[in-house]
Amino acid sequence: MTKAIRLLLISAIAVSACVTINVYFPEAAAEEAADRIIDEVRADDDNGFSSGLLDVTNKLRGMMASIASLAIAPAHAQKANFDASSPATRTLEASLKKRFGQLRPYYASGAIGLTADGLIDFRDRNLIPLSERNRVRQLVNDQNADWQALYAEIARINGHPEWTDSIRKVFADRWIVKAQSGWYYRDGSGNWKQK
Amino acid sequence: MAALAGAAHAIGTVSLDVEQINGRQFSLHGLVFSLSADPANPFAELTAERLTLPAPVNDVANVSVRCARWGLDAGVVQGRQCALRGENSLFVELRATVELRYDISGKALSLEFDELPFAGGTLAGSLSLDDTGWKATARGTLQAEALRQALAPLSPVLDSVEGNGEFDVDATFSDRSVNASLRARDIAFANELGTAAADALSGSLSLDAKRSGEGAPWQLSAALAVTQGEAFFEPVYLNFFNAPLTARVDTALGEDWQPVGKTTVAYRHEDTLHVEADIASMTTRPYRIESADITMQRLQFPQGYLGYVRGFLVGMPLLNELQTKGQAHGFATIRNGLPQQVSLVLDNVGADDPQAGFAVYDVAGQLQWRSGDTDPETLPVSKLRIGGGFLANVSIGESIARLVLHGSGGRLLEPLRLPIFSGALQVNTFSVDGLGSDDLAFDFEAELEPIGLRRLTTALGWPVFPGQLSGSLPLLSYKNGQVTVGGTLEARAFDGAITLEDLRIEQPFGIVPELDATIRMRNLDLALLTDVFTIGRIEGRLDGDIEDLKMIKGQPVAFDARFYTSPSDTSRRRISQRAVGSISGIAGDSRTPALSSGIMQFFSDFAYESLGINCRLEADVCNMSGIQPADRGYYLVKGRSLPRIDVIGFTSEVEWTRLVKQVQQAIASGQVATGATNDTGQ
Repeated sequence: MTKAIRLLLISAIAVSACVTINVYFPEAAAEEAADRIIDEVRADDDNGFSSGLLDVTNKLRGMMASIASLAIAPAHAQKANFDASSPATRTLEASLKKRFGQLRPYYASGAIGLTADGLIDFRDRNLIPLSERNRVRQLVNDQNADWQALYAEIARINGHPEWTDSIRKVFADRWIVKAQSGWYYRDGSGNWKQK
Repeated sequence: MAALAGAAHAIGTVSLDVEQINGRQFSLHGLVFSLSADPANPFAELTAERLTLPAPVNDVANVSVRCARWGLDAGVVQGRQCALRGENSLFVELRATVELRYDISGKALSLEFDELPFAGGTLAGSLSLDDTGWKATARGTLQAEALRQALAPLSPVLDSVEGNGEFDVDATFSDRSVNASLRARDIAFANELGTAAADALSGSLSLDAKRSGEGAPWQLSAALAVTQGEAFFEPVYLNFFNAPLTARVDTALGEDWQPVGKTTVAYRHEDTLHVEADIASMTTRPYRIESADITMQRLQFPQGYLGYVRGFLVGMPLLNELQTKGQAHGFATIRNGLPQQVSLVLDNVGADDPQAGFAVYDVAGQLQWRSGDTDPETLPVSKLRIGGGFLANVSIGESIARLVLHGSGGRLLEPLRLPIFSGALQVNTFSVDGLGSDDLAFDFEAELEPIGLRRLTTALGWPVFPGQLSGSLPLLSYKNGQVTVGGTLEARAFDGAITLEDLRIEQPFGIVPELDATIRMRNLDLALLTDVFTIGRIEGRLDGDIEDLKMIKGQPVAFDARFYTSPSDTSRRRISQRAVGSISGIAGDSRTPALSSGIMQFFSDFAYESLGINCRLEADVCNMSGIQPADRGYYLVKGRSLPRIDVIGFTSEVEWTRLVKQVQQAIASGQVATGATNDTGQ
């Protein structure tokens, strides 16, 4: 075998061995999971429930296949399962649900609202009686900590910790879609809007 | 002082133009003074383009004072029923009826008013100006929001709040003294962020200030009394309903109202908090105490905790809903803008968080802290006696701690013995650093004096274990959000040894703590163990290895576990009928056991050669196997002699959560559940 042929062969093997796997964030599946979890967290909240579900049924279902960007070798789609749970997700969901009941009056009054990063924040503390402000500060702090942990845990059990921010964004969008009429949310520009 | 610009004469009217009059505290520009002696229309009128007065009044534009009745007697002009007009930012439109007196030779002007509109109300009072200075008095009722708007240009703080309610004001001002009394009713205010707000406040404020001369500092005494209402200054919440507040401040204010010299503060919030402070040096822009001695005579719980402490703990997950009692007092010093020392005496203090299963009772003693710059050799010793408490619902008895606290940490000076039921946890060493920061770190080394497992497991809500727990906790460290153990945790239970190796806990104080460890059990007495779980009696000895254990929030999510008859076991090995049924149930036998019929039913227990079970947990699936392969399955129990019984499992994969339920069912009932195992009598 000549040197040139050997070189060509090695190059061919090297090229064919280059596999680029692009795993895309499965947004539709994440939206469904977000809807399920949000509904679970605010399970006793009847109002504003249907609008979100209607949207979900119109969403594309299934997973986006991963695509090999250079098409040199077949890519391997990695299945995400946003319905998978873990002790942590179950605990966090239960904790979020319990605290949501205590936060509900403050959503309704406009004292707190949803944020564009999938959390909650104070919109107007002056709508909260003075004696309750520290308690609500604690509730908001704890609820946000649980949401942060839940987003990270969902990403972790799907084997993609780097999806945390994408999951957070999906939840933020779905929360706003499913927000009860009259609730406030803060858009990406930092402006509060009323649903 | 005055520059005569010119004079004009008309029939019965005299007019005098003066360009400017300057006093020590005021000036008048574009002055025109007119007198009319016309019997049909007598008047005296003084107009000025601008009157400049001291702050906060400052400039008054287009001033006019026209008196319907006037007289000139011995060089004094007196005006009655004078209409005062002017434009001023404080008063917006100055409009009042005044009585005026001007001493021409003395250049002294004075006026009195009854109904001067100001801040939503009216003021009655007087103003006098002469070469020596000025003096004013005012009394009346003002609206808080209107007053805020009037004074807003003076302070950005006032610009960002809204309020309502009303004040009664009675004040005397001069360029050398202020004596003011305000009585407030139903005052409410709030800033835009809602971080400073008050509601339904009633009370009084008296101010007494004086200075020796222009440019000299003001000596100020202020006394505040709040008799009703509530206030929130994040993170402090103040409730004045049934708990009135009195506060007194004595200070000296120099240029730009900055404190100069010593400031003393006495603060008394009913029985909740009493504080006195001697502040040697401070600034208000920005607010910073440079040097002070602060004495807290009293902090009474629970109201002191709810009002003054709780808000600072937001974000600390272990201290959410503390119920407190007792009281504390102490002192602190501040030097160079930083705390230098704190001493806190606790008297019968208790804290209870039922949700977290945490409590401490009857805590008494003195905590002494020094700044990090202090020589460690000279640190004062803190000593606490803790009457008792609970941790994770486990009762802890009386203990005494001697420790030193400095900088952001501290350490035990001598072992701390925490009695737990009949035994104790003896903490030999404990040191902590990074308190109050994200860099919290501590080291801990302890021994367990034998603790009765029966009471311990009952308290923890676990199945009741007999026997005792003892062992040692080698150096346990917490750093960067992770607990690691510098050796092997050893304990004795069920007459055997249990060790924890490679223990690591991520975020132990977080929402989702994650634990990794390997657990090894050696020579456990199965008779003691099976007494606990009531799954039927098994005699013999058991070893176990749970490797690569990962638990998230207390729930196992992965491990590789093996439990097997101890290789060195020479003891009698028997398994009861019920235990056979339970093992079948755990492994999931759906059929009626052969034990309950035929000759086997006459035997209460059976000899066995060995038993064991393996489970490798991954992705909520337990891959099961036994002590050795069997035809299409694996042995869970391998019998010996006659009547011989073998328990063989056939299921290789079991959903973990379902298996846990089966175990719980088996423990609860000792009965067979569902699945695919078989027990065969031979």
